[in-house]
Amino acid sequence: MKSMNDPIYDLWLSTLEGLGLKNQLKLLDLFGNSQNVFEQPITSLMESLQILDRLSKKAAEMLLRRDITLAQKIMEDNKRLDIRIVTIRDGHYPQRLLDIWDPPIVLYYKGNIHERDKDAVAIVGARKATPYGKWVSEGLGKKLAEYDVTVISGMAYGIDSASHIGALSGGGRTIAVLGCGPDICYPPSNRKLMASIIENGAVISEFPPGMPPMAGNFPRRNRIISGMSICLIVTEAGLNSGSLITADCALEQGKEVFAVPGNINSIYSIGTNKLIKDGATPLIRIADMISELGLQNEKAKEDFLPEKLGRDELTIFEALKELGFATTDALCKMTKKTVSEVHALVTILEIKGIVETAQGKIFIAK
Amino acid sequence: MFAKVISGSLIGLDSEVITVEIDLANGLPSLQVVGLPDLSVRESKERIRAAISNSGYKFPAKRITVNLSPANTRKEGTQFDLPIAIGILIASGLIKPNQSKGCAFIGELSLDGKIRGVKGALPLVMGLRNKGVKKIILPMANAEEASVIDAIALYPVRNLSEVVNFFMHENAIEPYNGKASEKFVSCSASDDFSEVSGQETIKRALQIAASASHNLLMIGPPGSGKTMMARRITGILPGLTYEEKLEVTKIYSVAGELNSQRPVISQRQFRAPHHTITQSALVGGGRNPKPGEVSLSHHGVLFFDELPEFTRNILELLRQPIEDEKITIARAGGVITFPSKFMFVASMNPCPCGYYGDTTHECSCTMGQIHNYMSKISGPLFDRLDMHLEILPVQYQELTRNYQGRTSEDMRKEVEAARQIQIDRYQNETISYNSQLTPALIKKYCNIDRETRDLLENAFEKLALSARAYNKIIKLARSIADMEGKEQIKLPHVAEAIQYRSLDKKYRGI
Repeated sequence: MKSMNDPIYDLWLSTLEGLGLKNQLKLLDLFGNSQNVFEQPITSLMESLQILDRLSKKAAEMLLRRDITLAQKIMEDNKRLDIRIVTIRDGHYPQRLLDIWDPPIVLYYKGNIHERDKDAVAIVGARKATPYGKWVSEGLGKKLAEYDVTVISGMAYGIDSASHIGALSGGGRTIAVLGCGPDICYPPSNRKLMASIIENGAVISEFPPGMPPMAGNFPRRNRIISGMSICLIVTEAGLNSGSLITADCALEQGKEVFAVPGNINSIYSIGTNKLIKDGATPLIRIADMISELGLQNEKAKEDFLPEKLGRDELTIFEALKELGFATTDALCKMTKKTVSEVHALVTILEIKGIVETAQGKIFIAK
Repeated sequence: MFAKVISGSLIGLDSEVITVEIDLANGLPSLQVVGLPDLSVRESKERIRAAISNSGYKFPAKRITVNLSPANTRKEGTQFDLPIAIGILIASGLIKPNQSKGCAFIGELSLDGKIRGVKGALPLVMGLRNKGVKKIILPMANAEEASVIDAIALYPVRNLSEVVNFFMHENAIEPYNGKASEKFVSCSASDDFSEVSGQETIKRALQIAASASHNLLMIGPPGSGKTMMARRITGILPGLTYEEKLEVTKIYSVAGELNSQRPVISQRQFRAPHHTITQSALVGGGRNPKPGEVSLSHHGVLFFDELPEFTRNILELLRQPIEDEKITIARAGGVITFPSKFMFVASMNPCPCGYYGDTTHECSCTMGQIHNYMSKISGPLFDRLDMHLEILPVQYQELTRNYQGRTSEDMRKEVEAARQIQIDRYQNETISYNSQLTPALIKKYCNIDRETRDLLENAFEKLALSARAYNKIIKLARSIADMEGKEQIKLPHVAEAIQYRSLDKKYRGI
């Protein structure tokens, strides 16, 4: 007799083709655990089919056949690829996921899941982001890391990657929820980032190893991103960004949603501005989020004081404050300084971390 | 019945003296050319036969042998028509041998006896002069081009009879006394920077680049003025010296790019090949190699618009000419070196559709596409770009405002001053500009003080600059300091230089 916690039955149940997560959860509900489902006499299983939704004939046959070879193959794959699994019955299954209505039965992961990942914050946004959006995400990730808060995101290009990078640079933990098997790096150029996420947190997926990053997978993984966290921050999103789906999931799950406001003429911020219109909390200052989360302020670093700047630096800073973001030309005109003076001052402010430049634009970073 | 006439043949940009020997013998009438002539030389016999008879002279009904000596090098070009024709006329007794002594001939014949211009007249004449020839008979069409050379008498001719009369009746042809040397001095203004509205930042950067011939890349959406400004770079470069003009004119002469409208090259050239350019059109080629775009932009600007559209092969080919300032082409006909000392200017869009980062247009590319697009310029070529500048389109108000920007002339004066400082500083070195500084020379000439060193260290750490940026930033800072006439590189110079390395910054990627 196999032990009660043998995950092979959970694997079997979770990979039953065509059954659907909803039905799998119903079966679990009915019989207690997946081993019981597996060991039910055929008649009682047949009976249970009545309560299942929209069950195809093929799926029903799969269930009744009770073929465990696929699950065994996945177990072997996991061993070979150094992938671990956590099932819905395990003690270290992400606790907050149990509160959503459709938690995955099995999670595959690389790295490790920690007790304190319970109070994680998710940061998401568009793949195609402005330097500003990337900077905000990185800054948020770093700040949260300084407060020992785990950052959860999706490891996509743009905002997601920037959030992970921020958390890692702040020396914190970070978790990436993937839309493909945990053995696949998508996008492939994030290989390095993926390795350091595994070292300082985990990459998690509800998809078995070998699953390619199919478009349909991503909306599903979004519910896990929001489900694992206490709140969700959307830093930048266009009108059709996938991160708006994540925001919907978060609202459904009753999580607080923050959105970073953007210029109303920026096509990269239409989504986030719309979220604010629909009732999301605008994130005006990074510090606001910290107090909103009820985190202690003792670790907070000394805030930036404009008084510490030199006279010329202050002129540039004030001009930038007025303009929002500016080109060097605009700054020259506004401050009546030469291009070389402005460039030199901008570099110094950049090194001090007060401004950022990218794609020909200069903007305030504090 | 033997005659000897002097002419010349091109080898790359140089030329060698060719002695054309003609022998008339009894036998079946024929005309044979030996001495490794290529097709264009072998065909000359038909032109010569027709030209001589159509000019009213008798073509000898003899067995004629023409030898081009030295006989072991390949001869190419149509400039042998005239010397062979004259040789035949001497051998047949029409012209006395002593009359044409000390005279060299170049020129192509047409069937009616007219004399046409040839490619490479300038290097041919130069080579002949250097070998001690004092008089040259050459086509009228080439006279102006060749007249930039002194210490040689040029006799321009229009047709074969003029030459014959010159020798038979001493009908004087006036030695050419052209105005080419004046043309050489004059420098008509090309497009002017004052026509560019706004963009003061980029103008300043281009000025710095021009002052030390820094290679640069401009990144910006369509309509931001990348090409417009690139075209105007030659206008802020200092004028060419006499030797430089001669060198460039020689290249254009060999490439056959000179004509009556443009007999000499007196200005820095702007070359902008299309991205479908072939390898041999870029670096030069052909069985007897002709200069390519890298040489045609010698002492000028080579501009690649839409850099990522060029194939990798083409981009890789640029490495040697940029590094060595010359290009060596090996062919069966021999190994030839053309100079290629140019300022490389490239432009590109930030993404395939062009609007990534633009605030008003939506970019329709995926991140993967943008990634691929940017990665086309990675690696060795990237290492050769000293400056990367981000350009944004000017606002509508800027364009319509009655705006008077700085003129190219003002900018050029500052560039000239900065270049003079560099030439003086490096007079004992093998280099002349800051962009050519090697790591060893950077140590020698680019001292930075403690404060500046700290800033640079901080910048590398905080701005996550890549390591290869270090030397480039120092070189740029050197140029900025020279621009301001300062010997010591100070903190503001380095700080400004950092702004010209936008692709090293981290927020470009992710």
